[in-house]
Amino acid sequence: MEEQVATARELPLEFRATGAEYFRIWIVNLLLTIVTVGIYSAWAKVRRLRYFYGSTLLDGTSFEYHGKPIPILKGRLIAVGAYLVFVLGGRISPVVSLLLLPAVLLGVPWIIMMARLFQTRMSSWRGLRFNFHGDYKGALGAYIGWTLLAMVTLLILWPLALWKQNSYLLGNGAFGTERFGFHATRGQFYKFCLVGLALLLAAGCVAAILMGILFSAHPELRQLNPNAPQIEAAMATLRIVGTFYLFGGPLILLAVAWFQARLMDVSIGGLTLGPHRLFARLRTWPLFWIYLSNLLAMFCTLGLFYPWAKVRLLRYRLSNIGIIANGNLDQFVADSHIQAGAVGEGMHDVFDIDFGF
Amino acid sequence: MIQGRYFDTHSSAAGEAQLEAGAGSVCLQANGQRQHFSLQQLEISDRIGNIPRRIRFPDGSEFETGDNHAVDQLLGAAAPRHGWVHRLERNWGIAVAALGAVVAVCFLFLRFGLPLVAGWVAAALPPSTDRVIGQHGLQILDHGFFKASKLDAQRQANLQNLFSRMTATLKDGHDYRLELRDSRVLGPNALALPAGIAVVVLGDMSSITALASAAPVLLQTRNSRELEAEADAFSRQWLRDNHIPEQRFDDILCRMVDNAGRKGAELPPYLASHPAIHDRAHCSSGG
Repeated sequence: MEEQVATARELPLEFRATGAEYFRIWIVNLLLTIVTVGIYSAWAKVRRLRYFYGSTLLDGTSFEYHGKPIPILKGRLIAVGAYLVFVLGGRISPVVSLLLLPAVLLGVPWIIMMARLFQTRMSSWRGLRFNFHGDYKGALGAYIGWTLLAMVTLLILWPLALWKQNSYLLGNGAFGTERFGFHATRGQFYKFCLVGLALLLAAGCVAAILMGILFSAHPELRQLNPNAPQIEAAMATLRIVGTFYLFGGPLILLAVAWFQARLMDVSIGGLTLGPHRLFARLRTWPLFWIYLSNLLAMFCTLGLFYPWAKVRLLRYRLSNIGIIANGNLDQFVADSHIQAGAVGEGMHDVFDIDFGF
Repeated sequence: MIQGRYFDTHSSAAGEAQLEAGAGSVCLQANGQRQHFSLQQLEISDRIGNIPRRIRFPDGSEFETGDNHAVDQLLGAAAPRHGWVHRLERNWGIAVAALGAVVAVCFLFLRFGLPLVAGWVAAALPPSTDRVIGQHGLQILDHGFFKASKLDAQRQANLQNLFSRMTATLKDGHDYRLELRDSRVLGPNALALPAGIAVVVLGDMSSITALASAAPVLLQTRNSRELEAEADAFSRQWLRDNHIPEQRFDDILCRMVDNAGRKGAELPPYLASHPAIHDRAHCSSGG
């Protein structure tokens, strides 16, 4: 034990992307995508991911993204086709939607599995690919089974469902032939979910109290004439809801920042890779400040701040994640490479299922 | 001489390595060995920003270097078209121009593309859709903006009679219908809904100010103001055709101005969905 501690090195990720550099990549991507009526978006995605992967360094070596535009484009076209079938099918007859619903329920886990498989296999470090060993049954259980259970039990089992999903995504990962181990406990998930819920409730209460103080000072804000036509009633409701968000918004954002930081700390911090351990040390206040200032800056610049916002958030997240290396990182061995289809990845993009990180 | 690291892709071991560039070929020094490759054998990654470049050899192994400049020089003459996207991305002038182009394209789409597409869609929709939209539109308006008209039944019947006489002469395949309403929000007004539904709002003049609070709804007003000018021309032509003095039209508009004027509430031209009334009517001083 003593020996291991002596040789352990803490290696945080280093993120070298800059907002100014990404802005130019982003705007050229955007223009070429518009000019080609969306076709370039697959190339844009590859460039964006190659830039971010290449800007992320571990122990002096950058990560690499290997996705190719043509398969991603094909995947996107198939995904758009599937989406149109679903939407137009619903238009023709609600029965078609009803029939398609089980297909969607069974299809979503497959899409998640394929997307994750593609994502990991298209990533490498020091010339060695990542891999994913999750199967369909695992995805179906974690994403449909446990989600339904969480809903039936009025979210009492939701932290457990979240644990299952993170365990599926992270615990099935591999670098070369070495499998990641997922050691975060169900208890840890319950703990931060409960505290998160309490914080969210507290944020709501504080917002309500602040709003009450404001409204008693300015009664004209809450005027609601019962005889007024709907449009005026709607305006008044909008004023009241808007005031709530003005106070409640930052508080809710704070609760979200706390939750996100804890989720990453617990799930990534619970990972092992061979003799090495991963760590995540995100803190609530810096994350909250980045969220809030990004939102304000994007609002003030009509979205033009987006590339800087993205880089700032990624830099904070990535530079607080890393690996505690027990010995050197040379001993990983390559797995035999298997081709991953891009359909899952494309689907994931179109349906915009956001999981983990 | 390009300094970098060499990965054999069998393991995660990384060794210091050098790449020496010759004429059309390179020499790799790694793991104590020297290997020669021609440029055609190499797969060299595109430059993006300043991320490390990778040079892949035929056996799948890789050389990674942060020395972008040296790799560009190595490629220079051999592949003149290599990295054209990066040349766009490198330049701030082009970035600003691209931003301008994106804004221009968005503007042009909203200004010309959207109305064009809307025109196609409108032409492609069957009359039954027209009826449904008209009916639903009226329901929504009745719910949110209108009250039943306060005119007595006799006067309403008169107006309906007049309207059907007037529309009978228009043989354009539409089934016109007159709906009389009252509204605090809109004030005196007239709306045409799809499927030939004409809504005449009589209402008191007090609440044109209220219209200003509904200004967001009226953001897309440019086109509707052009349409209004067209409608004015049509009205005047119809009056002439039916031997009714054109002055009647001016009188009605001028009465609306007067009424609004008394409440001090004429809207600025862009907020109003109607052209400034003085541009439309020749008001006599008395009104």
